[in-house]
Amino acid sequence: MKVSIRSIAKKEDEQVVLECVELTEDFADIRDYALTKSNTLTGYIGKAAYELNLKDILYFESVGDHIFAYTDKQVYTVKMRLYEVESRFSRSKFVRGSNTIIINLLQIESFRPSIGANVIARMKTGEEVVLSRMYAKEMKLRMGEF
Amino acid sequence: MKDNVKRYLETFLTAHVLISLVIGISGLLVGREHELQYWEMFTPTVLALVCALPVLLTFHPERLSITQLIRRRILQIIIGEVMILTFVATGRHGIHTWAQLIVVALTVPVVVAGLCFFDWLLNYLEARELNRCLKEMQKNLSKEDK
Repeated sequence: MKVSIRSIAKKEDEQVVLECVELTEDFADIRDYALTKSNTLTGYIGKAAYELNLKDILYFESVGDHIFAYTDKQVYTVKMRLYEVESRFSRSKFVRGSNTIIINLLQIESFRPSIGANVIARMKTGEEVVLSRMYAKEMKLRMGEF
Repeated sequence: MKDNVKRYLETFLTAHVLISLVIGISGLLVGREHELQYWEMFTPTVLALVCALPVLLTFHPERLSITQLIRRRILQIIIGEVMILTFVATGRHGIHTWAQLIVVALTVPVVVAGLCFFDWLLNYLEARELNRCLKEMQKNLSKEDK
């Protein structure tokens, strides 16, 4: 497989272009990897769109038909389904913490026990998020990957 | 409201099936010859309606907060108390002394407290393990940064 790198002037024009006869598993892997390397995501407050840095997002939460991205100061609506968020950021530091929450592992300070098969994640910002014990195994596996 | 009723009906049906099974199996084991009156056929329905009450009173469409969890647990204890005291009081042997009443009344919270403690212990162990994995991940990431 040939690899070529072309220098460009503007940061915002940076992109990965894949040229292939058909989308094989290898190419799909490269595409998925490139997609997860994107460090930003578009969030909305009302109709206003904001470019969010992934590292600033504490967690995503599904409430009814909406997905919200929580940062330290704001809550943004994200136009994706929760499973899309999960698969898109599966290679980054986001992991499913409960049926309705995908949490940023890098923003967690500690865990403490709760009641009703739950553990509470204390974020670096001081916020506390209730996670399900059912997803603990997956969280431990993901933390072991880094 | 619609979700609330749906959840209540789901819980009611589950409880109805389980109570019918318990009554049927325990009846076969200890009271095979006992003849049931027609009014006794309603026992599983009445019990299931009462058992599902905490769902109706503390329902939350997304997830329960800690306060709601505690409120639900207290309601379950109260309902459990009322049911057990009613059955024992109206049963063949009945409750004749204060001592008997206290023993029966204390049984429910003691059992619930035991279950809660066991549940909390599992959460505690899981939280401890998660904290260990988190520390390890943070250590690995700080090594990478250096």
